[in-house]
Amino acid sequence: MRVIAPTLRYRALEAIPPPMTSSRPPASTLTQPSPLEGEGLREIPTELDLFTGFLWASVRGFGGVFVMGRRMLIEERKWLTPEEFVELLGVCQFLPGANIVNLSVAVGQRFRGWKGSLAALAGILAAPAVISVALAALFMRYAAVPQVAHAMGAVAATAAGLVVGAALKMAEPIFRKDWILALPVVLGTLAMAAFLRWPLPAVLLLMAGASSGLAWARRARSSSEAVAQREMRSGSEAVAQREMRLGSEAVAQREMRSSSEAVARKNTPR
Amino acid sequence: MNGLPPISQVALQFLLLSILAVGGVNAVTPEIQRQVVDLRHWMSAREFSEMFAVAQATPGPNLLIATLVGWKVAGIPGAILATVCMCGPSSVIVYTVTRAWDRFRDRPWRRIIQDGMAPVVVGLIATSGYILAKGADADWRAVVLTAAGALLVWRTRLNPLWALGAAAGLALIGVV
Repeated sequence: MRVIAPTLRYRALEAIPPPMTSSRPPASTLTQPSPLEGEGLREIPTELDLFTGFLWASVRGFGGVFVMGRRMLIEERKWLTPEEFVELLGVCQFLPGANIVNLSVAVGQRFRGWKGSLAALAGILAAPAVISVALAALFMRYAAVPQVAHAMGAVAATAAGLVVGAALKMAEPIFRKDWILALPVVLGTLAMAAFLRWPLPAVLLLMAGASSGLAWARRARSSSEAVAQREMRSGSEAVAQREMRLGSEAVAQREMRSSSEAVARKNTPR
Repeated sequence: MNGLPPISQVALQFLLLSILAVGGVNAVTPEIQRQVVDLRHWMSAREFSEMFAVAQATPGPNLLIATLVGWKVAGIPGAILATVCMCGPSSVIVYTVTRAWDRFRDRPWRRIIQDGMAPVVVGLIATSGYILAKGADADWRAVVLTAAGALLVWRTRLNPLWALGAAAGLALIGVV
């Protein structure tokens, strides 16, 4: 009995659903604003609020609008809780387009439908588009000045480095998670896109297909390993349980037998 | 497509790339460069890298490279059309999917595609960095700047704009 006790306790823990599923918000939180948050009602932003909110975030977002967007949505305007932000961002990263642009469409949709999406989209794009064209025009105007051309060359070289750095930063976690998947796919994509210069649709079709297939195979393998482990564990549990059942049955049978014998003995007429 | 005026070619190209921009606009930058520089010769590789630098230095989302390509090819109307085309189709997709997301949020294939796409996106963004550097790095000093920019983003949490400003400053006083 002493050996069986821990496995029983383990099984009791297993019966409680894992935290991942229990803490997941109810199904409607993504598409419908939850008005009750913290102490009071969260105000639903108007189209104008959405426009100005994203406009102001974009103008302040030097060197990356994403950080500003997050601050605006969660801390300043309180349109999203941190959890809602992460969930919505997960959707936006999964879909084509720039993250912050996708986020503006999703947040606009959430509060004000398609009009909200358009307002938020206009807010995030208007100022940066104007500023970038103004900067480019300014640069082109003085591009013939040798110092300007030289400085611009230095800035362009550094900007290219920023993109390389972003790739390295993104590569780190996925290599740590599963380098057998990451290494061939990253190198394969790099070879096709950078060195062979294949068209993007061809690269995407081939690599996304191959990579998802590989991810599926690795997931299936690791989950079958987990199943095997679980089976081993449950196998020994089953043995323990059978022993316990057999043991207790034997005890119960013996008790029943003895008690019925006793009853029988008592009831049998002499 | 080649018979069309440049502004229509730009529009069509970005409408298609918008749908393919899984992993953001940096992932389609190599394709934009291939079309604009290699195939249509609208600008040189160096000019493209410079336009990209302007887009980086501007506050806002990184799809501004599309805006600037449109501007370079067809002026202000080109800039507006390129911006709208670059985010139009993807926005329609986002709008549709976020409305119906609950239906496939928990499907296992979603997780598998996400796991599979992540290294492809890294490969495409690395390609983007490589191609931009190839366009911009004329000598070893430029290569050093590229390496410094990469290290800054990879290893620190500094605002990348500092790197761009420092590069411009160092170039103006003649250090690099």
